[in-house]
Amino acid sequence: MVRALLAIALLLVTGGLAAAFGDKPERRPLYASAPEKFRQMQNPLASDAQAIEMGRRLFDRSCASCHVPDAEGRSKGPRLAPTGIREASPGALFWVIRSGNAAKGMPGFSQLPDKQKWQIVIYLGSLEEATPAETKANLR
Amino acid sequence: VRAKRLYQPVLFLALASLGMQAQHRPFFVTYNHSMEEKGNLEINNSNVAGSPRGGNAFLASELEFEYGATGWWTTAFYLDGQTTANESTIFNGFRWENRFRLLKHDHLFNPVVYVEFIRSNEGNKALREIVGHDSEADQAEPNSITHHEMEKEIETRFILSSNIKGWNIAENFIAEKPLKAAPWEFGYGFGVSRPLSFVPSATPCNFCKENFQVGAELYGGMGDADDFGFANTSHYIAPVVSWKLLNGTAFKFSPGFGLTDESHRFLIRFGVIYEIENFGHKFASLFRK
Repeated sequence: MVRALLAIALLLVTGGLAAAFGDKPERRPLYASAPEKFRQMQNPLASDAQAIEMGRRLFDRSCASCHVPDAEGRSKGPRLAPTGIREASPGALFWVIRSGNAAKGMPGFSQLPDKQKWQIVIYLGSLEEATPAETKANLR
Repeated sequence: VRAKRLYQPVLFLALASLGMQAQHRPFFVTYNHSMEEKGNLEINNSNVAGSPRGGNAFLASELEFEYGATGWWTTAFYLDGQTTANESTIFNGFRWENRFRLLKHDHLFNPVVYVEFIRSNEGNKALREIVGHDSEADQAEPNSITHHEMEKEIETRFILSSNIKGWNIAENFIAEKPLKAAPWEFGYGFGVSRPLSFVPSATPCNFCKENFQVGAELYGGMGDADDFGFANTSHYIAPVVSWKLLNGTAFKFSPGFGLTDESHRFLIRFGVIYEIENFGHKFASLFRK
């Protein structure tokens, strides 16, 4: 039994190393995998004037560490280009924030209440082309 | 040049920028499905203090280096030690822990498999898990005897974790096996927690409600393969609170209360966590031209 466990652990570690350091396939946007029922969802806060500001605060707190480049121009996660975001429906973005994708290093934020997730979605929709040029240093 | 090479990694650790914002688990024993973010290194010092009846008071300490190898695999290396009043301070051994997240998306139940190799002497008082018939009397044995008895063990956990209406609810089913001829020992951990607020303040601050997580964990032993059940086992209930600073440092505190005669009456756990964001990339860049 112990040997079997060690073998399974070794297999998982080997797989993990391959995933960590192996060649990466071309990235497909995460929102492209959103189930249809989420794609159809509309943002209930679309007319909430405060939602963008609250979404910005949440983004700075939970998302910026990966999606905003540091002072040297590097970012761990993909930069959220406004053109790409506009291709996704609000519901698809909501699903990405809620569900994450461990295989691609995106944590899920399912603990965040739905209202806060929609605030992030509405903030993302408000991004202008110049925004990704901001750096983490500016956010602190 | 040689001196520079030696200092470089130390300087790197000291100066690496912080800023990771994902939630860490506030528990000391129970695990949930939050994994270390890919490329991040968490340096964690956890301590537990107790005073067993018929023995001397102790402070056990462990230093953990936890690294996010991928989004679904977190690996951690621990060094354990303890000091016991009127006895000695000893190094206990090391642990190598691996957690594998089984599903890539968050669902109602999020399963994680945990496998850990432990090489430690019997004097280990870290109490990171309570299994089998672990009892307060184990920590009353003097260091002069226990530090000679080296053990190798495999610890496994099946972790289920859910996020429901802002609460994180985590269940751990623990099975531990000494590599010498001894039966499997079983235990459990159950924890609930939530941040004090999900609404971020207008300006980032250290004392904002959203930086605090509160909750409680319940953990204990369930006997072994030869004598399964709750008879003669230890159980604890422990409120937990964690506080995260803007620079990425977090503090955890948990007073634990024994629920059975075999349990310690009272344990205090506290820890400090220091997160280095994107460590893997920064470390690799030290060796690039």
